[in-house]
Amino acid sequence: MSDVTKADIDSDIDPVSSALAQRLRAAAPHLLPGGADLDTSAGPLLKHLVLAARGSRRDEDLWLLIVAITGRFPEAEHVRGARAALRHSTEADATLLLLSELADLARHSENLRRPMVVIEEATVVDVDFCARHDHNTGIQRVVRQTMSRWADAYAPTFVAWTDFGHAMREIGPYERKRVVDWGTKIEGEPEGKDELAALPIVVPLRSNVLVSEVPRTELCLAQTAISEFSGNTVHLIGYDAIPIVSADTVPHHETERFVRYLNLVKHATRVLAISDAVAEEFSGFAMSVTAQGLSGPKVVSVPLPVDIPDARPASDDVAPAGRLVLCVGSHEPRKNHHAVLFAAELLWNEGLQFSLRFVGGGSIWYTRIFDKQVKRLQKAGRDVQVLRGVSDEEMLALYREATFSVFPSLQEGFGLPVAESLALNTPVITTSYGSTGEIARDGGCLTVDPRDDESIVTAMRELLTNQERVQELQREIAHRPRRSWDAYAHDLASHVVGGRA
Amino acid sequence: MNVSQRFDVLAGALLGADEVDGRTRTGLVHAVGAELRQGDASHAWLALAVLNAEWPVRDEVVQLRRRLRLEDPSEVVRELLAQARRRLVAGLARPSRSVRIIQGVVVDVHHTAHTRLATGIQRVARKTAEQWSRTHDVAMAGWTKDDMALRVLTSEERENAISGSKPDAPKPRREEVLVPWRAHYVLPELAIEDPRTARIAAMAEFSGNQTSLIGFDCVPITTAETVGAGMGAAFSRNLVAAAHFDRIAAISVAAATEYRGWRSMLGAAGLAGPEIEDVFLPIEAGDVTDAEMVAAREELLTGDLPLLLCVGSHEPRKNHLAVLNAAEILWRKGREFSLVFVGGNAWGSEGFQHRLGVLKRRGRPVRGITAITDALLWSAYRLAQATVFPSWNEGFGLPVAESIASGTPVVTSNFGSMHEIGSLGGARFVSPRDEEELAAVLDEVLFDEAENRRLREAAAAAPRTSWGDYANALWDYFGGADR
Repeated sequence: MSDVTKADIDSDIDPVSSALAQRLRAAAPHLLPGGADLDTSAGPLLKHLVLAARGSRRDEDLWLLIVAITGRFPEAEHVRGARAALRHSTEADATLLLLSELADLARHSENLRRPMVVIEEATVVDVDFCARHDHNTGIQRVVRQTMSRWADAYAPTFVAWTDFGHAMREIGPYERKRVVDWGTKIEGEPEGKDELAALPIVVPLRSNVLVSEVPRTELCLAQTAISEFSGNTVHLIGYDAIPIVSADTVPHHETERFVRYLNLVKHATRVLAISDAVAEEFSGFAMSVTAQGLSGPKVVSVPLPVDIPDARPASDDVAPAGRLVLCVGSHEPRKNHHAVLFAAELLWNEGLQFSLRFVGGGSIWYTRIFDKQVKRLQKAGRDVQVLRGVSDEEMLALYREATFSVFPSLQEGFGLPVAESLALNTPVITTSYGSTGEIARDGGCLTVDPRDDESIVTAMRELLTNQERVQELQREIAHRPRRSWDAYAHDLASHVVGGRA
Repeated sequence: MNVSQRFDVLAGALLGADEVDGRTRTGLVHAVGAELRQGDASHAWLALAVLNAEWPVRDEVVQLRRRLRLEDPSEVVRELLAQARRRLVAGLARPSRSVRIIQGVVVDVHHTAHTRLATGIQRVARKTAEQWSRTHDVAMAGWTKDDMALRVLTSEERENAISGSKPDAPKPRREEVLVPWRAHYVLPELAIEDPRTARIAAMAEFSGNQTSLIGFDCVPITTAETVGAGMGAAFSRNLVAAAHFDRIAAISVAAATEYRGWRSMLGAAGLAGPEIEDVFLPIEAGDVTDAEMVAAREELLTGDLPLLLCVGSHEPRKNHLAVLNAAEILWRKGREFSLVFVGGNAWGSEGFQHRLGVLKRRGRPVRGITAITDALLWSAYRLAQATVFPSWNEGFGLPVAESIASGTPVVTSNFGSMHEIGSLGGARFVSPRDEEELAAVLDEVLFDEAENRRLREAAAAAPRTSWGDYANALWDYFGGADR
């Protein structure tokens, strides 16, 4: 963290104090219901605001005032500290006591020069990562598919956080395109450092705030305080609790990040889970926090759609060249790819003929072992390949070409490869429980116990030797109920937009 | 113990002593291979644990089973033996390690065998070990230096596990690895070392042993904002192991609630999780001599001022800042009393220390004591007009139980284990989030004589239970050796 040093402030006193005055004026109408004299200078105005927050004793007033003074969204301990400071103050020393309590917070603030806007009774969507980065897998695909639809239908306010996570801010025009115009080529240049630094802090009041991603660790405490103190209603999209439930399959830092996020979860109003299985996970967590006197969030299942990805296949007329088995997903232990490889080897040994393609990247510590196994099988003349860096278009073509795909993951929040395979009429062998089991229930899948190799072998043998069964599954796919991204975006909105708890 | 000797141990366990006698080595390898191929995951787990003198992790068991299916099992066994020998030659494994298969009840007291600490988790593990070692035939075990396998404790380590009298007991130079087989593994302490939890997880999932543990709380995931870095991840891996256990004895209804909440998260991974029951910790006070009371009076009291006592380390979860703020409200109101904190510093206690300094400079009768003897602690409970414990989350809340057992009123949080214990009598409840409510209730408890007397009577009437009662209830729930 780079602090704003005293020297910076001394050499540049005007931007800092004029920004402070602007923020105080922006807060004034909300803290001084009787009307504020906005022409007064910052000093007297500050005093009025402090006395108003001191008198009202409402947390949301104090929270707003702290944002205005420091340019930072406070954490719970800051709000409590400020409350304790004001408790024993007199009218004469209240401002001094509050400022001295907030001195550390302000000294390290990255936003002393930043103006602020207050919005009331709005729908605010936190799209921090999607606005600031080009990366597009899992969570980002859900956010971009959904928010491109929300942008027109509900005109929500999209926000990101300032670099160190000190406050919510407006997003720039290029950042907005990253969120709502993904998939088309974005015109223009990303915002530069100066442009980003000028974007105002956004302070929601009495609003619905949707946290659409899993936030950066450094802003989780401030994000939680929004829920606890600001009077806004905070909704989350719940993706999974894999970093806890399958902690042995992820690196430590992912679990560390996730447990910080759980602080936000336990104080949120509502979690909108992407599958029933995920809803069960978050409900379980909500149940465990009753032991600490909290009611926990209300958890609702809003399942993701089984819809065709936006990309178009490279070629429409793919001739099936023998039997192709496709296994899509990043190479990590949780995806259980070694079990697929084992099943394939056993079936090749039985004399079955088919090709096997794995599609997906992964970290080197895992892929090295996996690739070694694949090489051994290639040497033995087996038709197996690992494809990395495959484009969306090539991927769609592979799905269409495949006899079936196989996805026996140990745990998934949703199981996008299952949904994609079905959307492209390719039957799937997948895990019988959890979110993949839910998708499978609507047809087109054979389900297996991913911890039982034999059940994977049996299912693959069945689809490799029984053409009728494959066709039957294809017919099932045709009769699956359709659920589109439009429907998902609409369902999600029905829980968030306008519906304050 | 060399690899051939380990193989003999394995063959004996898998085939039975009668089957081993009179066979050639080749014949034995063949028979063990055939047995492993026919057998289930528990046989693969046993083979790896015994031959490597090291408990396997999940992948090793799964991979061995795949190889047994794809390849000639005798060949697989020969390769396992060759691999075990290579590890010895390469210095990856210790040649001095011997292996013993063990049945009956094995109690894993790895930390407890080496700590002097008698608070929280260690206290529960130690008291349990002490009681059980008197009444039942149980084996105490620790872990090897590399955290790769359970091992036999030295007699000094065993003594420390039970009494805490030999915290510096040397670790054995020759380690004897324990492999529970058709046995009952009990974990009464918190295991958070990665190699250890990964191996306990595989043992619980595959070995077929009965598995039981004491569940203290899920604070590292449910209240992570009050816990230092690293604990959330380490504890989550402890839970991954716990997911494969047969049963968990939670130390309170609140702890059971946390564990049950976690268990219902497991469905997403296709796991049912363990049976969970609460086995409530005892409410028991320590003894104090008259001389100790006199010394404590000298040490702890400020003139004639009534004493408010707050016991516990200064980590944020204990909410000691709120205690300071509530006390300041009362002092400003003109109430005269002294406030003593008993407990060490911990992660995140800077805010508390700062505020404590401010109040001291203001001349408030407040102090913090970090190092304290048992005698001083139990005297403090008796000397206090009241105690205060407004924690955000506790698996048990020992200071609430200790205060009540000492007959002293306690002001504590209105939920969770603190509410459970306090409901036995002698407690007033507050929201730990409301400092003004805390101040108001403390005011009554400290200065309303009738209220203080009423609470003292209720505390005196609260039921007492002993560590013996607890250990018996735990043994019954776990099912001892009978499961």
